[in-house]
Amino acid sequence: MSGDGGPEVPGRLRTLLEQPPPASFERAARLAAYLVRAPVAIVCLVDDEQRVIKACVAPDPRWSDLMERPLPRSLCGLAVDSGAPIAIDDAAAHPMSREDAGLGELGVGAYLGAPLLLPDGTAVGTVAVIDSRPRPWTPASMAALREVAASLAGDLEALVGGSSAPRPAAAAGSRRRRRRVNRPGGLDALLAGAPVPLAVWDERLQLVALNAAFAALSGRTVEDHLGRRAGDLLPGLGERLDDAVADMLLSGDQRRRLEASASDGDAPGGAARHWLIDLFRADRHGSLGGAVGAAITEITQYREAEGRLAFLAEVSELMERRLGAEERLSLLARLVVPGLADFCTVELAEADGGSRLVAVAHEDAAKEPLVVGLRTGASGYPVGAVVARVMRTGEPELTADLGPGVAEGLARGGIEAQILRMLRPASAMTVPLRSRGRVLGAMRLVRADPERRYGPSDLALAEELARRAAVSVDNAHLYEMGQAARRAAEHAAGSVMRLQRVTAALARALTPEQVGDAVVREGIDALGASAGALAVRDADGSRVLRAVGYDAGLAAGRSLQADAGAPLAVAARDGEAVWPDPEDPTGAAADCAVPLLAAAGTIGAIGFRFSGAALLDEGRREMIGTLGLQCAQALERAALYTSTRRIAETLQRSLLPGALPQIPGNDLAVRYLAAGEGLEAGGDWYEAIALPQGRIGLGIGDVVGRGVRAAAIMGQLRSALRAFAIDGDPPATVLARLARYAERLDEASLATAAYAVFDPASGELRYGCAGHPPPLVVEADGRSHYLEEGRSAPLAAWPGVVYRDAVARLQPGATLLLYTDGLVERRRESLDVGFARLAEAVAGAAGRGPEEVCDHVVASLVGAAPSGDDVALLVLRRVPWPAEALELGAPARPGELSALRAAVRGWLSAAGADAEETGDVTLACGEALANAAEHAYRDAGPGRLELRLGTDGVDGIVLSVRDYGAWRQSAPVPDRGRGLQLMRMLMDSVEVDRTSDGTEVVMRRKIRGLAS
Amino acid sequence: MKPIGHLEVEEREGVALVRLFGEVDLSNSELILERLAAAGMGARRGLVLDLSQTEYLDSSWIWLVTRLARTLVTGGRGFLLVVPPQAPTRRMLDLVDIGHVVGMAPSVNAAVAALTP
Repeated sequence: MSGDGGPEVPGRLRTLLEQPPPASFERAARLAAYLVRAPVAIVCLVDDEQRVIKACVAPDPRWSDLMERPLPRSLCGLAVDSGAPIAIDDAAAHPMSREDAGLGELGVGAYLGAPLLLPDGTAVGTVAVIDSRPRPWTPASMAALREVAASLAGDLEALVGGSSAPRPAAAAGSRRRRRRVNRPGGLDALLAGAPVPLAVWDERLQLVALNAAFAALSGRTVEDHLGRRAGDLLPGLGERLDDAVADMLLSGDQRRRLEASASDGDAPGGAARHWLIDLFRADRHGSLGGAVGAAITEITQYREAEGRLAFLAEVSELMERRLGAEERLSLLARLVVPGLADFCTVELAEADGGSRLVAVAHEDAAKEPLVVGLRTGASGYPVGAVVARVMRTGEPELTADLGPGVAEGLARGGIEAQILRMLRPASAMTVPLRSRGRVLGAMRLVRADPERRYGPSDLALAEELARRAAVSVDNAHLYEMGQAARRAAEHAAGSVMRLQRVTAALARALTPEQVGDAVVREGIDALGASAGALAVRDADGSRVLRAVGYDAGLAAGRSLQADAGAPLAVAARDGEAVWPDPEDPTGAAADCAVPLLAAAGTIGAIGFRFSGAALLDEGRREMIGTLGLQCAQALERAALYTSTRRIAETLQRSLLPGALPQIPGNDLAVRYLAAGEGLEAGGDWYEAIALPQGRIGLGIGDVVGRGVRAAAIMGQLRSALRAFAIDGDPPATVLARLARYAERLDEASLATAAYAVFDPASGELRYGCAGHPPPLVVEADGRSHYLEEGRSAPLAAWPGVVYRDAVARLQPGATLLLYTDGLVERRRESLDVGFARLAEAVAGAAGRGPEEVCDHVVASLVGAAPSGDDVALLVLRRVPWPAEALELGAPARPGELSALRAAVRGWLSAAGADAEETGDVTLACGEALANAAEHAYRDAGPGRLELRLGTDGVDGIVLSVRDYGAWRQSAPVPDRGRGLQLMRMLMDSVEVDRTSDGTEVVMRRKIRGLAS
Repeated sequence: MKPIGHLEVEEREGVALVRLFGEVDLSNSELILERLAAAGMGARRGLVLDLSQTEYLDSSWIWLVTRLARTLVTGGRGFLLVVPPQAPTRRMLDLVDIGHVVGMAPSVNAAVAALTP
């Protein structure tokens, strides 16, 4: 604003400046302080020379003293001149605030001011909030303040007589109706007439207006609500509304739509209700109430309908995964309990007009026999009649109240009454299973809770469910019939079937040798031949690959050069079929051969021998021709397969680590077993890395899929793991990095991995499994357990996975196994069985070294039944306690002591004691040895010292020092007694046993590395 | 036979700075104590015994050393032990609460400085 900007403005402003502050100013200040959560808020009018505070909210009364006095323009002038909010996070650093002596002493730490802009764009003042300490102002605060300023500007415009007429709202404001919101005209009428619940809140979140429909939500009167929070009267929905209104007040948004859900009533089992809430500002055009209105629409029924649709879709999908009709129906029965029914029966119509019960479910499985009894019992209870009627008519039946029928049944007494008493049926629906115009059966749903009787909407859901189930059952029937029809057709055509058997055998064959076996053995069988052979062409002509039934002249591996005239050799060489002359009387046996024709030309031949040429009829010739074609294809595939497999295997082996790191005192062994012949190389991998501080990283993983691609991904993951792990980071970190890396691989592939960091000094093992089978720990005594913590999703399974790890401890002598699932998985067998088998196998190798454990596990798990999958196995054993106790004897001379202490120190360290434990026990031992050496043979010269150090068999060591002299109580050196005191401090227990023939000191100490 | 422990003596501004290496037990305690006493008595201001690199101490010997320390202090000389937290003998000295009997200094330099005006 400038002096000559708008000629009318000074005059208008003067009116304001001369008047007492209207209530709007004070309300704006209060609202600004409330919304921005600032201790001080001021409303100023500003012209070119000065600023006048017209309203303020402040704890310090000196602020009020500043009101209505000319003050420097200061920061407010800045906001007015720029016409935009000014946000100063640290006012002390701002030059302008230092000029402002009046405010400076009141402690202005941070300042946020928004200009009061009249509709013509003139800025006449500010609404500002002030904090005593520096603070970062948020965009939300700025928006709130701007909203307050805009609202106040509307009032001002009316007060100073702007171009538009003063609004009733502004007039209301000037009459200081403080507790009432300034309602836009017609609001009361609107409220009363609105068909939906409608209410208005002020900036204190108190209800200031509402209609009868809103009041009806809580069942109280409109007056009960006024001046209170909605949450006080209406738990659930009311609280959501209060929150939403508060949010809306702070946001500066004009409208908002949101959904709220709350449980109906306090009972935890109360059904959820859903509402659509439309929020709108009720304070537009000038009134400063900060009011927000809300219109509420209940949408519970729509949400429930959506829920039902989702349920239907889910049930249908699950049923499709089962193959048989009855399997699908029993799944259906289980799925509707307990959500839709407390118990349920499904029956299918029989050809004789009766029905057969195929599925029963009760929420309490133990009661299912009762349900069966109720349905099939010979009692007069009329379930059977209802089911029969529904099946006959195809019309559903709903009995909302079973009371009368049940009462009759109870009255009849007997078993039926007992069953009824235990099942307590209250309400029932029977719906037909109808597909393609036929009723296949019926489903009966029963609820026992009289509070939840069935109604029409339940019946609609049950009917739809039954319709989908019927279609699903029909499909299953068709499938079953299709299977049966195919089998019958196969039986009908015997020769075709036999040929198919050869085809099937060829399809399974993956190496040329397997192709030879299939075609020769199965071919002889199918054709009724007496002998058969397969020859393949190579550089030197042709070579017999498989031969059965011929004499020694035609054996596998033999070259056909010498038999150039034999039909097999001719067919392979010339690419022509050779058939015997059926009229030839000389041959008792007839030989034939057909060439194997592939894209590249003739690759070999197959031949068969028949006991008479007459047997080689037209049908057999045709079959032999077909066999030749199939065999050629199979051989080509086998050749391709063999080379692919070789590439994959080579790749895989070259990608796996060549040598394992050496860890002193810890043994490590690995095995990698490619899957049995007939499958491609897989994506299993392992890695062992020497880490800082003598620790070791062990990784293992499995890329889903087979072949070159899986092997290549495996290689990338393995080398990535190595790079990520080398600094010794914990498994959670390493796996998270590996997952991020896996996400970026071009060909996304599911991969699992386990990674562990082992500290040989302490026995600590930190491990994490990303979708990988849990590591197995086997104690020295054969007890074993799986490490089932530290689990997370497979690598790159989905974004945002948090990878975890956990800590375990390997006791001395314990063995850790990391493996891939090929070791435990068998087809048609639960994984738990595999886990149990592995644990059992490993227990059999307890106490042995890792190499032996590997051999034993492989022999007992893989050797017996090839799993058809690759297996990688990584075995680490923590160094066992020294098997032998340390037993030393020496002359009791001071010069011997140092060597004895060194032996003790070495034994402890090898046993896994840490530095402090080793130091303590060595010191205690040294003191005991010194006592013995110094005192025991004071009079008699040096005798013998004996020292024994071993485990206590549980979790600690026992150390004994023995001498054979007189250990005199009254030692001449008084400080000697302190040695015993020190021993007691260092060890858990010290026993001194003095006898006439010597002294034995026995000391015990727990070793942490052993504690379980 | 190689001795299991030995001393290095240095004189700094009238203070005898003695570094003890290796082990002290019954086999060498008297010899080591004699040399220590000689070094302490020969120094104008007193003795600083640095145990930073001592591997093993016989507890009886350390009490003999405290007696030497008392003697030196009574004679107007100072005595300070230097045992860093990671020194191998630190735990044993803490257990016998040596700090209540003789003065301890965090480092050789601090000890020498404490004994010189």
